[in-house]
Amino acid sequence: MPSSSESWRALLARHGPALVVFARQWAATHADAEDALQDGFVRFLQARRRLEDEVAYLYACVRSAAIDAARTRGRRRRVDERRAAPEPVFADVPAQMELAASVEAALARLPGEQREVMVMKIWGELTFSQIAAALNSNPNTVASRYRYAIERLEAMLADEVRHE
Amino acid sequence: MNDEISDLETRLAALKLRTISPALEPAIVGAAQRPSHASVRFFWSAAASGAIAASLMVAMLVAQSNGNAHPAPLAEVALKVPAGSAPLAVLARADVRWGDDFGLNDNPSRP
Repeated sequence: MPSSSESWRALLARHGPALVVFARQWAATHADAEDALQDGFVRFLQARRRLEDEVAYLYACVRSAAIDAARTRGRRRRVDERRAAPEPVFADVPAQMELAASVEAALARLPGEQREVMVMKIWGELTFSQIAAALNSNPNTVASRYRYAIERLEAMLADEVRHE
Repeated sequence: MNDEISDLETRLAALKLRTISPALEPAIVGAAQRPSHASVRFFWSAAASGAIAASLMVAMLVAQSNGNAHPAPLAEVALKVPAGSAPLAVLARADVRWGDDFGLNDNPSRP
């Protein structure tokens, strides 16, 4: 455990909900995403070597835990799990339900590398440098992925409005 | 990089996220205090390596001590000195050079 035990609690409170949305990219349910968040946090706390940016490193830990859990689940997947109704990613707020459902559907259609950048930027409020550190990538690359993601999401949401 | 925030980004950021379970924090504390899979794996592989090395050493020591348990009697390995010959001559036979010095290698059939 790190000496600054309060700081990880603050990190959990501050980034927990966004990290769950982030982990949902590889998890079918909110509970699975929370499990991945727990594993990721434990990896973060037990790590001896830290990146310069703790938040970026935390995202990297949760990402790797969620991917590992998805691989394990994939091997053990049961038929009834596939039949289960999908759980919403966002909170159940009546005024936002329509937009939330549309965004969720549009996010699912984005390529994974654009989606993860978008989640980290919009809901995690990470800078492009932090996202690049978490993904072991380049800030310009993640910025361009984000730009493409926003453009595609905008187009998908506009299409949906036209079809209604 | 265009840092301007679009209307869509503002609307997306305003979406309310689901809260995390209150049980998550104690679960993290509990899980972090347990030894990690990596450290458990490291411990067992180190223990297994140590046990194998110790077993090998014990096996080698046992084999060595068994080999020396019943050494051949000294009388069998001792140089048998023919009766009536001087010990020096016996030793000299062991080395051709000495044999030459003492005239022990003289062979009439040899040129």
